Amino acid sequence: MGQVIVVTSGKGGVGKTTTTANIGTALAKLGKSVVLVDGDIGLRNLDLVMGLENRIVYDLVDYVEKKCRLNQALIKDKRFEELYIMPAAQTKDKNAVNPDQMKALCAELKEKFDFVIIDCPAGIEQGFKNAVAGAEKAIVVAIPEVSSIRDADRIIGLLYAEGIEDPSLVVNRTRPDMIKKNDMLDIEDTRELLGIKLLGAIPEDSCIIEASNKGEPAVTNPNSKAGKAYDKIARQLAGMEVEEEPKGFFEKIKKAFSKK
Amino acid sequence: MNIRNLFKNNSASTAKNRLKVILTSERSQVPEKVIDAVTREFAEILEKYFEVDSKQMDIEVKHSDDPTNVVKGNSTMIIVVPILQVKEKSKSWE
Repeated sequence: MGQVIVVTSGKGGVGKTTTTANIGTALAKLGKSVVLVDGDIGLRNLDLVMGLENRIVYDLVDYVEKKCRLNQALIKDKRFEELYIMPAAQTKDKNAVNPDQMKALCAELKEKFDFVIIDCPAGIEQGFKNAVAGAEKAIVVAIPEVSSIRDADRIIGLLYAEGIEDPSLVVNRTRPDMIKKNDMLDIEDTRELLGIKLLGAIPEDSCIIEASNKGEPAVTNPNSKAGKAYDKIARQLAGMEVEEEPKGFFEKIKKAFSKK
Repeated sequence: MNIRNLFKNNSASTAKNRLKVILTSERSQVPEKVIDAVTREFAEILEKYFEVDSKQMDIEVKHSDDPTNVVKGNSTMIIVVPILQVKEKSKSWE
């Protein structure tokens, strides 16, 4: 039996789809079976970020309306055997499905996959309620910026009200240079303001835009800093031990020697 | 610490302070100026008996459905007031 995780943020454009795609791909790299569900009906994008937009025939709404079989609405990834996406419908709107249908869908998917990850739409209306309905866990994505944090806090309150007890935080697009100069809220400040546990922080990285240009998630690029940070989050979600980064120069040397 | 920062207001702490007030107010659905007044008046009461570190005072409101909340179903206000020492015995002890 797998677990159902919703990736949400309240505010748009802070990296929900990027986070969904990268955590999902990173979990598949670890050998887990994963399905990524695009919950943004009417404004689908997960297919594009994953580079699978040409393969869509049926979508989530088709399956919920019993117009196709489950495996017709699941698109297999090009790179990993056990990675699938379920695209959102592009021509319908958020009212095309209801929370009960989403619950049933998630219950069915978690029988078949280790991880069911739902990419939630921005906002707090019907689309949010649908995306959250079948989820047991939530990842809240926020960037260290006032409007994103305020919206994330609203979302956290709504997640509690939906019975999701222990949401975790991904602080996205951190700029270490700005944090050093005290011109950006640091990771701990952001976590403290929102009052939930930290899952990980993703540094701002130009690889993310290059990755979505190509339709290849950053975790497939070994040189991407953001990709490495997503790998670390995936290991944590998979219950694997996460190696702490050595902090200073000397610690790095010590670590390099102790490996031999 | 960069020496230039000494001469410049850093925007991160401004952001943190602004967010602290707005999140507290939104979680409790109480206007910001009421939160300010509650904090101030609370400190005034404590200051009758203790020397407090008013700069380190902190206020937090928990989301009503937060499972770590002591009272279920209501938002809870937590005010942290560091006490430096008990004041000399005064009239207020009587």
